[in-house]
Amino acid sequence: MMAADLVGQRVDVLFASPLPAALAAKAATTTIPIVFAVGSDPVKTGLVLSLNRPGGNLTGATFLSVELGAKRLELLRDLVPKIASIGLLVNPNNPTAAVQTKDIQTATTALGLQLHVLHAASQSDFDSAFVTLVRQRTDALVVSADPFFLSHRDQLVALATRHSMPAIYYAREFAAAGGLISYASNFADSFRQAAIYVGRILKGGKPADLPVLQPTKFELVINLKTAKTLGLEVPPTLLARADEVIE
Amino acid sequence: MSAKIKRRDFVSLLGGAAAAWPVAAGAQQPAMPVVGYLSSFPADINPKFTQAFLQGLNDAATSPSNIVGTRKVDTIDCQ
Repeated sequence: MMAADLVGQRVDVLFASPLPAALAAKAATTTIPIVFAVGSDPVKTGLVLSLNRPGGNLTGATFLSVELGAKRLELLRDLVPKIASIGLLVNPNNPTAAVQTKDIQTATTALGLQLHVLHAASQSDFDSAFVTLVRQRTDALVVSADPFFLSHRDQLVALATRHSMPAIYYAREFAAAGGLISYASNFADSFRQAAIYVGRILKGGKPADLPVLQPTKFELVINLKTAKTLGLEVPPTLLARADEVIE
Repeated sequence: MSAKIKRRDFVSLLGGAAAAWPVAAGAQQPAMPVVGYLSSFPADINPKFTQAFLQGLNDAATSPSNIVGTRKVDTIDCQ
């Protein structure tokens, strides 16, 4: 409805982010050019036909947040010794929930780890999710990519601290809020790139001809203060790989 | 996304143009491109991303085929 509202105002280009906004924009118009910034593969979520030749009235940038689950799991194992079981926090309302869960399932199976998937669709679910994690003696947590989790990062980070749960997150903002570790592309950079596409479309470019932009750089952020609180010794090799260390 | 909508209009100044552009520009004035900006990111994070977006619009305008002027960006935050 919000997207339709903007379309009704006869905008020349519509920018939409993240995925729910992009899907709403796509549903609202097939004629007005749309530039998106989303966290997932836009082919898999049906936004475009292909990355190189989007085809329709949409193009944009992806942060590839959703695709990094297995990599985050690997980083978490490098940081936390002797992990046997992993928790995955997922918002079941997220359009990519199934994809993210399957990726982590595949990765944990390959590594011989036990996986506990916990669903949280509202703030009140967070407390019970952490209680379950502790009861199941889960060693560490992967917080899946979801805007709702980002909105409530302070609460999630506080719960992880209270329950001494080492966790990896999908955005720098979590580590900045006291989360142990994050691994992600620079979202703001994708916004800037998407805006450059908006500029090109305003000058006559066609979304169908503009390849979807993908990040080339990913940032590892480690919160040393949180590591210390959790009694974790950060391996020097991992520390050397960090793009940012929060003391 | 629920019904909680907060809308704000703001203006990105490019190429030294200093006039804010009203929603309905007069018919005799040259048409300014309007960019719709739809975001469901958390409100406390949105300003940072919006800033990066405006930076990108400025970057785009520095290429040879400049669009000089004021572009109106209409923002709707929905959560």
